[in-house]
Amino acid sequence: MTAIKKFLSQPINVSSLAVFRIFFGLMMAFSMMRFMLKGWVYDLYIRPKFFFTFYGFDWVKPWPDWGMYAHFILLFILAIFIALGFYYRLSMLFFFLGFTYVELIDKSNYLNHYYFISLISGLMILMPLHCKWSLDAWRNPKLYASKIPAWPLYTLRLQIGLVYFFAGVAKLNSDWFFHAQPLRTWLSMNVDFPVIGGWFNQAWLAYAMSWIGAFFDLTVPFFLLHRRLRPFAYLVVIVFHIFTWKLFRIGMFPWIMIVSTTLFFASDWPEKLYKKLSKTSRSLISDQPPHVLQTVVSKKTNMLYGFLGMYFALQIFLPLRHYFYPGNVMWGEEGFRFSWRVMLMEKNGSIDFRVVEPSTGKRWLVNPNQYLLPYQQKQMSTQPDMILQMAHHIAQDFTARGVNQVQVYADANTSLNGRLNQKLVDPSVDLAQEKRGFHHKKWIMPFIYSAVP
Amino acid sequence: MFVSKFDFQIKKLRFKKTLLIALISLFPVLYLACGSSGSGGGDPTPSGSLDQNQMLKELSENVIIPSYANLSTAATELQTSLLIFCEDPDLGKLNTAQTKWQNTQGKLTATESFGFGPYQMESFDNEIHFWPSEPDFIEAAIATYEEFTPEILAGIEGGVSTRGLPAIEYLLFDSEGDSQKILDNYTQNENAVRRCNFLTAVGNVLQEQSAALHLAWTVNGSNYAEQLYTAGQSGSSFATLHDAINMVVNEWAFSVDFIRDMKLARPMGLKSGSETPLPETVESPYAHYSKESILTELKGMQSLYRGTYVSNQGLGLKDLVKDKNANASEVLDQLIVDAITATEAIPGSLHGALTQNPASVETAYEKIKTLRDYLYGPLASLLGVTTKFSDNDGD
Repeated sequence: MTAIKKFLSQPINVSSLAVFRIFFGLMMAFSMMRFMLKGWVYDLYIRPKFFFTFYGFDWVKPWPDWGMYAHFILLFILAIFIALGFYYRLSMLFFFLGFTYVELIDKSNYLNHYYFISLISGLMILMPLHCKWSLDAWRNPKLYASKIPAWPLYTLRLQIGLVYFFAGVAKLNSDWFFHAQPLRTWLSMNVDFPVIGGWFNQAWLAYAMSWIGAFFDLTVPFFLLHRRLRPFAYLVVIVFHIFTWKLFRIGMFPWIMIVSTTLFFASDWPEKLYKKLSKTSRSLISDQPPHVLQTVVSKKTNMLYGFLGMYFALQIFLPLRHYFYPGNVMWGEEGFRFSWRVMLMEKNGSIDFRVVEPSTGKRWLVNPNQYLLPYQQKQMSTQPDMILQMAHHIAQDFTARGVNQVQVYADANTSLNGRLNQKLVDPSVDLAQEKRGFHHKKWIMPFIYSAVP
Repeated sequence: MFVSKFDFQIKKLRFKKTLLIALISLFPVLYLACGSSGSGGGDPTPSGSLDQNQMLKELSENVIIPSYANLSTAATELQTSLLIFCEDPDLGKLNTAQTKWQNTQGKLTATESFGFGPYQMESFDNEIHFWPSEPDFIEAAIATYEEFTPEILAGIEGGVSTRGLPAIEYLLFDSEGDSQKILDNYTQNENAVRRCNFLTAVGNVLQEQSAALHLAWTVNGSNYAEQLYTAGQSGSSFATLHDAINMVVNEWAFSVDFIRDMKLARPMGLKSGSETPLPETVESPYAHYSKESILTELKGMQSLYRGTYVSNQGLGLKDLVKDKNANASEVLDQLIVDAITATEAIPGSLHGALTQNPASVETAYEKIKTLRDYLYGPLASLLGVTTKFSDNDGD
């Protein structure tokens, strides 16, 4: 234990972390700007009439119209402050809270890379990444340090490594390995991809890419840790992410990972690069007085290490928690989110709700489109926990309309990776009576394995 | 035994080489073990050789543009019949106008499964086919104005619910089938002239809109067809070919869900908790042409699938599906046929069958629902089409 503490407390050059902070802030600022300019603030947080909140976070509600825009403008400003290192800790704290709040508003918008940003920004609150190349250090020279304890760097590396590794573990399933699905479907729809698109209909390419993709995710953190292999591994990271960005249009995620993985290089790489590029005997960097931030293991750092230990235990548990639920995780999606299950499936379906008033025998066929926008409906129609939330909302709505003892049933037909439809939820179960929570939902119909067509 | 550092490195290199060869060898072994396609094997998926841009081109030229051309011609013939009728109204001319309305309605619904592009983007859908119409607003307009210039027509309370085919249907048909009663409105009623003025003004807008819709797809207009079939190439508004396919398939599937939901479930009373059907909510409550409209829409959908229209024959969505899975293409073809057959089997009008032969309507509903479920489930998965809205990371 002492050795670990010593390892985490050894002084390292802060330059790579400072560069990461700057790029992280700039990317987040760009991302917030993008949200506003593309009209997503309105489309995702103002226009919907109903939001699928996360269990335990039903109290999270969107601001009124102008409030959501103000919120994103504030996030943009905070991101710029982070890049500049201006009131860094406070900016980081409010950015983390503000960004996470946005992500908690509606489950329909859940993306693994948003979750990643929330985690990273939460961790960064604890890290002294403003002690170099920041306005804070410029305004308060006492804050300046060229070296800091190593734990922030190793914490971020571990977090990034877990993302890749569990994304790889998630790919270890028969659809991915033995049917090259869903990649085979997705590739075949991109035959106009420059240069190599003509081969995208070839099955061998889908298999090769599936296996290479899984191999990449499972191993890249380890290759990045290897000093001699690192440059090649990073080149592969760049090629891989640019390729997937071009192919699947997955927004900011590839760029975030390309920037994040620079943390695997030696912590002084920005200084070395600068010196190499500047070709001057005296650089700005060498002008800075050397200063090492406190690296003594104190009671406070013990608490910090304890917290990080628990944090990573949770980070390892979350992607594996689906083993506590019966059935195929891609089907029931119990334990699916927060598990780095990225680009794993092509799941589609249709759903109708039936409302019954037992006392009169009256029945209503309810199309969820009267409550939801198309993108929400698509997400809901294949995710059991969202189906349950929708059923509860319909029950509330019909109760408010004067219908007594409302019963709600769902007829959900779902196709996983091109298979024929199967019933996703038991159509004979009154979902209005079923409880939300982390327990196994017995009303999720078992997935009957059939070959991928 | 002493092992020199050099020996150790050699062994390490050999091990790496062996590992590399093993990995490379593993690929074809596993690949073949998976029974992947190519020259056979158990997987029914063909290798995929369809030129999807060509498919969109042939669909545009063989199905979509001719369908809109026929709609435009039908709307022109309808307007001509309305003008003739209004010159000197009689039952024969009224019957001719009614037949022309049915023809136009059929031509319009035949296009609804490909109602993307200009039809929605330029609001032709609202101008041509906003339903239900609002008789109260129509009657109020007739009582208020003598002449109906385009400006007056555009400003009438009720907006698009007073224009298009549904409004003309209301003006030409009696829900009880009493054509004499309708004729009296144009001969006996104090607002007879105004009614005719309104009818022909609405007919004129319909004619213009239908012509403009056709034009928007052709080289003489904004040439939307080219935008579609050059998807993914420079100059097209579709960044990728997949974007275009996604839109086409989405709209195609949506039309089936719309039939199920609005054209059947609603009049069946399923949506309103009604213990009895609601025939008054069918698509064409005056002309009793709802069943035929559903049929022409399903047949239009079938045309897009098979790539056939009248005597035209070319690539269609079926070829796209076949390119992925030959079995699925036949399954889907049969599901469409089943839906058409079940709808044809409804005796008489949908309006009447809802109360007199509800079982036939329920059968048609179930067949169309089965088709809908297949389109939104296995087909969407097979083609990788999604309701795209914003960036995603695919999970």
